[in-house]
Amino acid sequence: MGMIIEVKDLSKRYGNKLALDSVTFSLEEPRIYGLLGRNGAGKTTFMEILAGQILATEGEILIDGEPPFDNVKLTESICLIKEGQNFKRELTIKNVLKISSYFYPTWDDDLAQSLVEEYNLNIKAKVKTLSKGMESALGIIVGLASKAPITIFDEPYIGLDAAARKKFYEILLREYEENPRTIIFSTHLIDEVSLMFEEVIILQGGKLALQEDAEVLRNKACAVSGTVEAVEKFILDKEVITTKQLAGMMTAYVFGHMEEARIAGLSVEGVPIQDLMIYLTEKEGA
Amino acid sequence: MNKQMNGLLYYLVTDIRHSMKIFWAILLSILVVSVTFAYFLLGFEDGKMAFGFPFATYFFCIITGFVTVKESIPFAIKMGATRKNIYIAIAIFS
Repeated sequence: MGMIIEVKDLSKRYGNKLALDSVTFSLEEPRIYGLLGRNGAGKTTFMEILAGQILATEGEILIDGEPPFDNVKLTESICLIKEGQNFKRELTIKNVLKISSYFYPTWDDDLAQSLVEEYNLNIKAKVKTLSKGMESALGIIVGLASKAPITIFDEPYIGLDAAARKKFYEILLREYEENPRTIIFSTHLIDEVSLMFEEVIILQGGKLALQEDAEVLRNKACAVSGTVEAVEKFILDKEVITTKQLAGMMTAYVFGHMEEARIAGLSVEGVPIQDLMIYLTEKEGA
Repeated sequence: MNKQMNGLLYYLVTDIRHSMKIFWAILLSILVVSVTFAYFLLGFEDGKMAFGFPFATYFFCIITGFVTVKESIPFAIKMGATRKNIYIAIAIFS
């Protein structure tokens, strides 16, 4: 059974800068959520508030009706893995795994040990002796083995090579299938993971730009190309994300109307989630 | 005692073990060297030798306290510990 996350008018201010600006949405099912956005969009701030590590300036996050800040019942159900410096550098991998096992009641030690072997880590090595990729692998191991009902990965694979990343995606999906839970995944390598997302949340300038089912998003947004006149006529009464013009030809990114465009004799293509994120965040004035 | 408290205490003990070993190794070796010198030098006259630990331990405690506030508390918060548990664990540990 998944935990229900309700985000209500959430704002966070750092001095004069508003990192989050009245964000409201809810995550109700155990799914893999893609939290996307440009640099400085407020993703990390949102994840830190969700994990109960910092307080919001205004608004609140409720998990199963309770705020997560300083709430041991909830913080032991939330595992946040950031892009780096997740663990103290003097500790060994063995120490890190042992400490994590105390903090997460759902900790799976067998899984942790098998992942350590899979990523070829030396259990006695200190965190400070690990390469960037190995440190990321350790974060991933803790995130997966925690089996926390809400697991948050914030750009977890800095320095990991393509093969290790692929292995991570496979293990993540395998674990998710065996033990469905809410996984919130923030990344800039969207093309690599977009097929994994079940729901996509896009933040832009601290505001919620979009929350949509990934499958719907894949089917809904399309790129319509043709002559400038034909495309302009077609998009007249439609929701347009962005348009591009080159040598008398025009491409418009629109929501829905795939069939209609085909009937109008225009060429229609799907829009990858990464492109969609770029266009949406440009539209919002990044 | 809850599991989180056990985790915090385990972390604090593990974290300080290394610096504790180094601190006592240095202090005890200085003591051994001083006692050795004293043994040979004080034999000639009716002198006295005194060796105290307090100031060394005060400085060690100051530095450890500083590191705890700067690094251990943020790490414990990252791991999901509550402020109350962190406070109690550090109090027990100290």
